[in-house]
Amino acid sequence: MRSRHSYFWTLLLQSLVERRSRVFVSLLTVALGTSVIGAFILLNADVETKMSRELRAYGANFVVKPGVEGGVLHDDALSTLRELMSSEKLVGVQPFLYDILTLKRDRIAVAGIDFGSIQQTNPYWQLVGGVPPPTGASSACLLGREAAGRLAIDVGAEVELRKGGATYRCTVAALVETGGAEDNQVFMPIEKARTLFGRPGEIDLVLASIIADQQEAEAFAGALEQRVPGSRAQPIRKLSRSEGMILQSIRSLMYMVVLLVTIAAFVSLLVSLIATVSERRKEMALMKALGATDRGVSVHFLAEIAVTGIVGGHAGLAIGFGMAELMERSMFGTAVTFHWWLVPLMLAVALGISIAGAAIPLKTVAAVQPAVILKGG
Amino acid sequence: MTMIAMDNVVKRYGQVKALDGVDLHIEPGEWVSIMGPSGSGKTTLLNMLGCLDVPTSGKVAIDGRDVTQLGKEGLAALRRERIGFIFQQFHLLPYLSALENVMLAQYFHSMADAREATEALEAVGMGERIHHKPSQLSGGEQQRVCIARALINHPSILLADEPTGNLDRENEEIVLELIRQCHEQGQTIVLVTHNPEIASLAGAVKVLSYGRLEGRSGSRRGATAGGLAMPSPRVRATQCRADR
Repeated sequence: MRSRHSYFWTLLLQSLVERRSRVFVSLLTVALGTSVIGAFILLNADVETKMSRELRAYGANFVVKPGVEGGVLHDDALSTLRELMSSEKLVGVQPFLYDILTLKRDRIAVAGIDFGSIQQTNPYWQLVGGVPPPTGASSACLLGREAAGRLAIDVGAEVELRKGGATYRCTVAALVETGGAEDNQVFMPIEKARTLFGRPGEIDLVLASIIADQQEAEAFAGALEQRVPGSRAQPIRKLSRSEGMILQSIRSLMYMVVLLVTIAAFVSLLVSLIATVSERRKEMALMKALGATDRGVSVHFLAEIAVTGIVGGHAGLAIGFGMAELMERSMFGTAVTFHWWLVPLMLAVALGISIAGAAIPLKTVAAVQPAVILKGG
Repeated sequence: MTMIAMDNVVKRYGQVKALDGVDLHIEPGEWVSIMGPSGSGKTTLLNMLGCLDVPTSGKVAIDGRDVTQLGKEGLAALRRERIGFIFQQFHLLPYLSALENVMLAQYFHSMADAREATEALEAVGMGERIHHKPSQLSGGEQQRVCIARALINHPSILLADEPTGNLDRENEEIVLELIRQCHEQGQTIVLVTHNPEIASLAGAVKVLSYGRLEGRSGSRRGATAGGLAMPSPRVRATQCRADR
């Protein structure tokens, strides 16, 4: 061997092997600190989207209605909505067209809807006695449970809805139970409703289920209103505010945990390095006696710490990814999305924690006096 | 040029005066022993000579350079270029082999050279043990590694602080023989000891008492001085070379 560099690595590796237990503790400290930060970053990047998707189980979170009292929307509202929002983020769209019809001499609210969108926009509807009819089912209808009870109509019964001289016969495919106004309504295919109500191409209200944060939803609403004049679009405030608050709470908790863990890792590493430097004062004194400068000795110890940081950082990244994957699968049932920019970021964090932890102990290098420490006999 | 020149050197540690107006001049190739009881200031004196410490007052010049004018970096440079240390407690790094311990001195000087370090170890009779760790070596063997390390960069001055203090009689003879061989090849040596027998191997003996140096001539008795036996034939001549 005739090389400054190869001896440098020999010295470095031999020193690390000699103190492997202590090195392992430092490595573990860095890895744990890095893993928590890495897991947080991975989860944070995903949590908003995935939580929004989860909360779509509670139904639509976006509404489009006419901008003026008594106004109407048309099919362009639906097509524009689908155009502006990507298919990944648009879970479902449900148009509503209302009128009051007669059923068995009773006046009852009837809504024309798209049966195929019930699952996406109205997942909280309990359909009793049957399943949602397919979109093209022209002779099917859904009846609110309370209305069914009052009018003594069962699933499978044929009913007749009348408006003026027009009649619509349909078979009750299922009863709807929500605990709300829907329990006293009838639902029929919107195309049939338009014919029966004499309102071709019209829509009274659109509910949509979208995956978006508050900002995105507001921007979407603005864009839609611009493209569909006479419309009024907005997130359903109660739901989106709750969503935002939940997200904020989760994030605040995560920030706090990450901060505490980082501080704990830093302090733990600091204590370990102080002990290490203290134990190796004789070694430093010898190096100085042999002609090493303070800087030379510091560089040597810093290199050891940097190696620990880099290895710990890699381990932390792997552990953090595992933790994030576990948490995301248990919370959302999906895999975490890995971002490659996380690799250099986490290594930088690990190195940063390691070198910051070394700053104080390395100050003692300059204070090491070979004359005092190496004094014989 | 005088190799070592100390003029009226005083060293204080708080209220304690470890050296009190020491004058010492050593020519190139001289071997001087410093004797004195514990607490007399021997190690302090050696630390001054080794640029590990600076005087409170007075002047110390090593090979013509006034060390009192040098900063930490300058002293470090002087140590690695001009000074070789032999410690009583050896101070070998436990996780490095004998070879790697010798290369450590090369590393801080210029470049680690395994071939050169091997030759240095062979010269002190440690050629068969170069890959052994200090824990696998006897006291005498460790001290021989220490000597090889001290000489690897061909220092102007060899400073030995009680080099045989931790050795048995047999190893003491081996180590002293190595030092004697270095001196024969022109090495300037300052050896600190409390043992008059060992001190008398030098050309001159100085006695340090309460921080003051008193000189007296030593009779250089060579290899057989003071009852010391002839060295083992397996120890070859060292590769000590006085500084150019």
